[in-house]
Amino acid sequence: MTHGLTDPQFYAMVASFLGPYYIALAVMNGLAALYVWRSGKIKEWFGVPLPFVGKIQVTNAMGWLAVATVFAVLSAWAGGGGVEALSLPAAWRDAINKGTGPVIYSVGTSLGLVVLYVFRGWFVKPAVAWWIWNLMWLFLGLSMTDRDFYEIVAKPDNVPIVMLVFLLAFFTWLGTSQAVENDRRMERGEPPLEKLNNEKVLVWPDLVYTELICMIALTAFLIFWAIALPAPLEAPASSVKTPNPSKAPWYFLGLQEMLVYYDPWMAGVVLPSLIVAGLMAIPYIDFNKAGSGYYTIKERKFSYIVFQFGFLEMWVTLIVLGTLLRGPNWNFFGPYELWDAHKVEALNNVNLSEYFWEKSPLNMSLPASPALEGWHPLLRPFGQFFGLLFGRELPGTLLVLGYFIALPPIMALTVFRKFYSRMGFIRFMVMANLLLFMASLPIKMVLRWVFNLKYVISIPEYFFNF
Amino acid sequence: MPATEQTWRNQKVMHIIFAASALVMVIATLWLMAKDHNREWKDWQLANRKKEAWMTQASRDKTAALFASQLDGQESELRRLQSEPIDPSYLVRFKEIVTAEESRLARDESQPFILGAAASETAISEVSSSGSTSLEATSREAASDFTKLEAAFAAFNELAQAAQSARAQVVAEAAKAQASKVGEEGPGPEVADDAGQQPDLAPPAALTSSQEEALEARRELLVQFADLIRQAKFREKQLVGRRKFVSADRTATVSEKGLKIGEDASKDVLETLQEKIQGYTDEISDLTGRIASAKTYRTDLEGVVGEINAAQDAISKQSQALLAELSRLDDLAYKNTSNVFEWVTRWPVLNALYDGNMRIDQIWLPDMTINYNFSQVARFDRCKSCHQSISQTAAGTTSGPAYPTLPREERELGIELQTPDAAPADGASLRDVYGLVLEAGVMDYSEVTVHYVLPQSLAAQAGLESGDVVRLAGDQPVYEPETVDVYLLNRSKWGESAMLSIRRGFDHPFTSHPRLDLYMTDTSPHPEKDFGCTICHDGQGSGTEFPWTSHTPNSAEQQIKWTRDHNWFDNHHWIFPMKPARFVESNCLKCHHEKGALEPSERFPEPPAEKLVQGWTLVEKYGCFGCHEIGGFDGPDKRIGPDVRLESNYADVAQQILRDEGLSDEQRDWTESLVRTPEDDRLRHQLAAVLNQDAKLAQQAEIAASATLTPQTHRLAAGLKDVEAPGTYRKVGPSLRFLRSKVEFNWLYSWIEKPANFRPSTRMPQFFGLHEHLQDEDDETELATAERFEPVEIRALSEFLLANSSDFEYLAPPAEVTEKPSAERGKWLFESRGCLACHSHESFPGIASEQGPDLSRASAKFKSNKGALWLYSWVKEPHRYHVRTKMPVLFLDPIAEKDASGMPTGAVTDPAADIAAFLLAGKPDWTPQEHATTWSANEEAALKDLAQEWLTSDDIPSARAQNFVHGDGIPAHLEPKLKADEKLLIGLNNGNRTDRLRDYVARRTISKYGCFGCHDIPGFEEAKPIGTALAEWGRKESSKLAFENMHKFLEGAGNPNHDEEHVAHGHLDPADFDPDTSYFIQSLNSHARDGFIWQKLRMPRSYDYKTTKNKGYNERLRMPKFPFSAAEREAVITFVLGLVNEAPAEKYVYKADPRQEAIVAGRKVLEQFNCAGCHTLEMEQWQIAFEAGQFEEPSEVADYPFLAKSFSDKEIALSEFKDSRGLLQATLHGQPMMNEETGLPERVDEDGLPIEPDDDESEPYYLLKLWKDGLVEGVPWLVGIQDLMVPAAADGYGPAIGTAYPAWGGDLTRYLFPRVIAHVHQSNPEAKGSEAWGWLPPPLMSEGKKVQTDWLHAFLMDPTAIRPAAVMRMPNFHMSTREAAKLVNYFAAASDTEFPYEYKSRQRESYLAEKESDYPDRMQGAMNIVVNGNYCVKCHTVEDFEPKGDATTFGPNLADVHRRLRPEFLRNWVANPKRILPYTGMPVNIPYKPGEPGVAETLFHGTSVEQLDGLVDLLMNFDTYARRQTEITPLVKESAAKNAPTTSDAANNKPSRR
Repeated sequence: MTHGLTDPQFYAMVASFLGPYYIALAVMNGLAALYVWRSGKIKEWFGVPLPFVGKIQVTNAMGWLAVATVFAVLSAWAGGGGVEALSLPAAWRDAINKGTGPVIYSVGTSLGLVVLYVFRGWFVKPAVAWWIWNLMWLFLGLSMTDRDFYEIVAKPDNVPIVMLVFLLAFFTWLGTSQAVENDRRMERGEPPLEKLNNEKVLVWPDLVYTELICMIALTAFLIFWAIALPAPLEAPASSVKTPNPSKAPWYFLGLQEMLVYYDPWMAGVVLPSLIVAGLMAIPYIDFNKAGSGYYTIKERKFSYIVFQFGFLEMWVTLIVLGTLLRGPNWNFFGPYELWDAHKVEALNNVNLSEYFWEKSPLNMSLPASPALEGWHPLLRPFGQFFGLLFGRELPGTLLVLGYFIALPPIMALTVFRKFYSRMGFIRFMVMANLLLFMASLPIKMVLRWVFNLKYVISIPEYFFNF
Repeated sequence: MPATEQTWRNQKVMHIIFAASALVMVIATLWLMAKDHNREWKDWQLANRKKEAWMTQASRDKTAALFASQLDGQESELRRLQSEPIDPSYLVRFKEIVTAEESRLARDESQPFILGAAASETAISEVSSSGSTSLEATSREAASDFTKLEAAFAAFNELAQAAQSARAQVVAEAAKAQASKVGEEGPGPEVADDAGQQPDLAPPAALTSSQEEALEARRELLVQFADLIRQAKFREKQLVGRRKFVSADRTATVSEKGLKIGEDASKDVLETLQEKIQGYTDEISDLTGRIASAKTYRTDLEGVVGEINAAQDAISKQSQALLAELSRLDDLAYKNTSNVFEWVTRWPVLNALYDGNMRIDQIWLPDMTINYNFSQVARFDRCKSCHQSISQTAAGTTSGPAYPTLPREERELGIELQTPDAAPADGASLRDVYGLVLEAGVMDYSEVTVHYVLPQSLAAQAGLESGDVVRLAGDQPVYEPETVDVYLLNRSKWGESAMLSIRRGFDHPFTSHPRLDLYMTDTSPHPEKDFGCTICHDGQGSGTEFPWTSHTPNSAEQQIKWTRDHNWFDNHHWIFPMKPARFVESNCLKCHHEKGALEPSERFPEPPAEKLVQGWTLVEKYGCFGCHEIGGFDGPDKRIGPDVRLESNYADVAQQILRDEGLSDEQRDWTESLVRTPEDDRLRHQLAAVLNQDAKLAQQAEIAASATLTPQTHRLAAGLKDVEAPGTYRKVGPSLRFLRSKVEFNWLYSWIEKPANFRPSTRMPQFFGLHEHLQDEDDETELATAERFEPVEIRALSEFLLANSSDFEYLAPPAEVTEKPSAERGKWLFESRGCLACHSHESFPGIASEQGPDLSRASAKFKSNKGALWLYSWVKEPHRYHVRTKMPVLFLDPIAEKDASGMPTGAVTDPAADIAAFLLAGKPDWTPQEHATTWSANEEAALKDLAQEWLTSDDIPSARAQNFVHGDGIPAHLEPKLKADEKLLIGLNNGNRTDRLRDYVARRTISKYGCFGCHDIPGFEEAKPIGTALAEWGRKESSKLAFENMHKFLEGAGNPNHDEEHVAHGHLDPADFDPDTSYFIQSLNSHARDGFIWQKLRMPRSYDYKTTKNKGYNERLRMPKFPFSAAEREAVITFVLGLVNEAPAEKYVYKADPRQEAIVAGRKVLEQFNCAGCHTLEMEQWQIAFEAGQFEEPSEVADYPFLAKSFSDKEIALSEFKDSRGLLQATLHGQPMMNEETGLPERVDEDGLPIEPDDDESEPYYLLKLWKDGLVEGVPWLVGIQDLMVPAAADGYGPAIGTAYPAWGGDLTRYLFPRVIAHVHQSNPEAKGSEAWGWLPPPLMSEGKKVQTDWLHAFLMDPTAIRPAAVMRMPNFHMSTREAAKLVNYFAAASDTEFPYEYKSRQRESYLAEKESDYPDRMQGAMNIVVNGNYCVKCHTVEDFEPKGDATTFGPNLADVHRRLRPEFLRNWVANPKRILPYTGMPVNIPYKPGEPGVAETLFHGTSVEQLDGLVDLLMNFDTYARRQTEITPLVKESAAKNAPTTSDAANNKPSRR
């Protein structure tokens, strides 16, 4: 997109986008100030004595107005040719590039999720959320002046992902803030908000009419989108030349990311099937009757955490990762890093069996596959497979078996004791295994990044790797 | 809960939201439609239509202005003619005709109409008969009354008389007024001529009214005439109608009778019917007769009236033609102008019904596919949707562009407009005064444009054209026509010129293709409907928007402009981006795989692909193919592109085999023959078999000893294998096989180090000292490594090449030479024997050929004794040293010197020695740096380190390699695992260490740099090219190109404009560079191929910037630097980018017909041996434009009829066609007369006398000597009759208007022309300079017509001396018979004659017998002419006879003519030699005299034609004639008598071979 453009040409292009962009942000904050002022949620911060006028109370509405002014100034600045200066400092960008390595990224997002969860009461405060909202947009604006960032974000097929990030943030806040409010109310013994407006709604005109309007508005929006960002044309498909990077559609980027850690049959078949099966099993597993019909966290902590982890961490962040951080040759790139196809990452991955036999104090060569000379030719492969499974790959096999067989009883006896007693054996085992499968992905990711672990069980002779 | 009316949301608010969302939806939909509707191409098309309409309107208005006066004149002429009295004889004749007809009809009536036997009985017949008679009767009644007619005639003639006299009076008055006016003012300006003939510009009222009355009367008269004619017509029609009915009845009756026969009707019935038929038949024939007479009568009457009106009709017809042309232009203008209907139909939705003349202009090319990776897809080229005028030719031309494509800056012109001598009358307009009409702009209403210019007006003379935008009038900017009016019409001084600044022509996309002779038009070789656009230009043909069609800017400046104006962006997803203008020729290579097909030809004298051909030639010249294979074949015979590859190495392999001492004598003979004729497959197979056999012996342990050859020789058998589609190019560098015998170590060292040291113009590239990428401080170590190892490589190479070379036997001067070598003689020999055709030398400024090296410094190279010996051998017999050299053998045989009288002086000189002496004369201005002959300690250390580096590999780690190098070498037991070079290191010791290491390093270095790509190096016969193959480089994935740190390099060290500011910028801004460089910088920014190769050629090692630290020394880049200029570099890139391996479907690939193929193949050989260095292969082509009557007709010459040249009607019409400037065109082949002292084309004045250099008053002309019959203004100008006085360009060379395309070849001939004259004048001041061309290499334009193919072939293989007068002989190139055949075919094909065989009827026995049956002593008679002292033998040698006198006038031996010349050529030549060679000194011996003898009948009786025929027959059958003079029988008898057999087995004696 910016291919072959000189820097001045690039900045001119970005400026034409950023001018209106900051204006829109200014308007957004202006409207917020107006809302605050009109809705009577004004908070007076302090008074400023002014000559002639007397004392003026500075309120939060004025604060948001000031933010709007700042954005208006940024817009003028960007439009007036100063766009180059309107970027994150190089040091910050470097820091972000460094901080988006795989380990920091995944561990960081997980920690972030924990922080958000623990301090949800504070984060859902409108003022705080609005600040975060503003900062997110500002961050995007300041990053757009970076060529490499722009190249990724402004690509027409990546725009939905950027939208997704913002929409997700908004809806997460919406749900969480209501849940937090409900939890507080219920603590005080009040019914949840949803119970207050317990009136019936007519299909006609209320529901159908609303749907009609939504339909029209959405269609119009799609048309505007299609006009503004037409579908990009790319090179003719070629069987001998694949695009680099070759990326799945954005909604499959999470699945594609799994391919990095698992053998295709696991990442492409077993795990996706389990996701579907697991989602179908939820109603049967869920034994918690509370929280139906209203938002709550306290009453459904387990479900909430599992869902947020599975959706936000295991799905959305992987999409963002796949979009923003995976570049040519499927290497990791910081968001401000040039996608240079010549970047090489040293990735010499090692199987667990090699760690165990060769790189440990054992210091011996890998046990060979059993020869099984006397076996029937039809049976020999099975014999060899199991021979390998319990021979060379024994440590991995034990680990996997331990993980899936030994861990659930332990869980039942310890952390999930109450669950077990309420769910019964089968339901608990299903739940526990699904949970373990879900957890296996982050575990495998961390093992790969930290220990360069290739496979826990590696029997390439029979296309069986785990 | 019961249902309530209460809704959840406020319905009113919902309605408002719904309304708002619906509104948004409407806006979205409309926006969508608008976006879909407003396509960029529509704007361009509308603008183009506007332009077309404007241009048509301008041409219409101009035509209308021109026609207006003509139409007026025709109208008054018509009026005059119509009011002239009519000759009464017409009336008389008319009446006579009518009367005669009446009497005829009366006669018919008196003889009652007879209807056969039964006619009167049938009612039908009666009716018909009476009917027809009554018809005629009525008409007769009316016709007989002439009174009305006569009255009308009389009335008209009376009035016409009056009108005529009124007119005469007016004419007389006007003449009087004119006469008095002339008396007062002298002859007036332009109007004077017309004035006499057009006195009635404003006819007086009296005349008009009398004419009106006369016209009225005439109409009345014509009505009267017409009445009679109408009656005649009526009668005719009646008769015809009648016949139709009768005819139908007859047919019906005939059919009835047929039916009746089928029904077996009675005979009577049938007979009745037959009678009835007969009756009808008779009536029909009668009617036919009467119709014929009626028709004759009518046409006669019409004829009379027609004659009366003849003159008027002719004029009316002319007017009609003019009016038709005007209305055609009107229609055209209307069609291009948008009207309301179109405007409405262009609306969205409606335009689905009709497109309003706006449509995507699409060329569909189903067979010209484009590669979409998974399939080949038909092309849709929509380029014309915007480039609407691209294939439009200028009116009246077949290939002139209607709107030339030129950049704006070249279209800004200053026009000098001559003002009239005197102030024009008040109120006169620009049109009246200058013939100039202005209007608001074509494309832009704020501009003022020339609407049209009247021919021959002042504006037309100044060169203003319709459509020119007037920018400045004087110094004043022009925004409205009034400004120009004021400037041109209110002048203080008249008679001086006024200045207008104009801009001519249009910008893209409104222009036409610049080469419509080659592309787009139906007459061109690439018509648009077959080829489209993108096959040549690339780009996205189906796109209709500027950015999506993948236009490619030609410079950064253009890119910035395009980005701004057209939203251009670099769409790197489209893998076929358009070629930028600079590389547009690259794509020719897709279909044109031979260079000869792209070079200028007679049909396309303007080079079709100049840059590409230049690049191709450079690739051949610099031997790029030595390292980079450019394969043109996919499989044995499928062509994919140009094929530029090294030939098979057979000669070198054979030479290497010769090194083997074990060869038997026979094997040695074979091998030596193979060295000389490597194309001899049989010999090669034989030799390979011998080697293989010997190798087999060696493998069998028990008989291994019987193998005589070494294993190295055995391995060479592989080099003799057949190759599928072998390459054809020789190595470009000299052989290094015998290097030791040629050069010294110091020279060699210096040469390898930097060839330009010794010879700045050399083609040898520079391998060492290329360190521009190692200049940064942190690269110090890297630089030091290079500086440490490079001298080691150079020294090792030099020593190795000398040590490894074979022994060479120098040639000794012949014994008979008596004189010492003389540099002075050598200088003339060097100049005149043809050395300068290929070499240059500073002693001879004015000629510089690049075929061979510049020899100015030869003395510095060969100053040693062996150098001199070598040079002598080389000059005399170059193939002795280098078998594949292109340098020919010049036949430098000893010369027996003669004194002025032509008697031998006894002194014999050796020209080869003289030339060598000349080259070695003088003190060298350059000497190589002295280098110690032994290795210093430092060098030895470096050598060891380098050897260690080479040796280090995965198998031999560094430490081990170090042990090997410093210790006892590689242990012998490892030998089987070692590579060939490494075996040198077995058994090292302190004695041989340096030498062995040196050889090892040298061999590795040669392999690394690929020296064998250009040179024959012993031991490297089978080495393969080291570089990337280039056959598909033009499509190479740019991700596969290692750009490495090129950006950083160009930002810093590699940027000549490097300064701190740009580094701070962090990015290379192409706009900071000149346009050419900026393009490539931009290209590098985009990681494109062209930028990569540009930098690779410019600084080949620079891609190593900052990478050397982590590479071994031997892994560094190795491409050398060639001494290309920027333009040459671009030409090479053009060629390489065209190598895409994308040959389209078979039918599009250029396929020459056999004749063209022969020409293309021949051109390659011509170029290889530089034939054009001496010979002119094409004369200059002058395309001139001139005014009618510029050239007088050439003088008539009585000549043999068969010499006449006939031109087709089309050619003659073309030569008489006037272009838009009113000029005629002619294409002439020839060369201007040259000055005999300077050798430069002579400018002469109108009397044909040379113009002095300081004379700037005379009009300059060139005396163009024609070499090909031409047509000038419909008149044939024939060769050798008369020179053409062509007006010369005011400055520079060429015609005043038009182009002189240069000759192809003959530089040396033209250079030597004045010099041989001067040389001959030294001994013979009388010698005629004009004949000097005859002493020089002849031009070969029509060589094919001239000589027999088999003779030419033999001559090329082994040239013989032909003309005694020539200063130099055709040298022997040692070409292969295939190459000679190609040349022979070329000459025959180029002169459009028969080949490879020709039928020589004159040499047939039967022909001679027939001729001699009439004149038995014919041959003898012809011989009489030959031997007569006045004719042939005066100048020609004939067999043993030699003429006496000045050798410069001597001609070739006539006894050999029958083998050399083609019969027809010989006849034409003897008939009139000048018609073939305009410069020849040979006279016409048998002048053409129809029916009379040309030479005395005492010699040969017969007419001149018969005499000529006889002479030609004799010359063509000289051997037959000579045989008849020889008698063998007496010899046999004599011999028998002498050696009478004494034994009985005499009969078994083998026939003696004599």
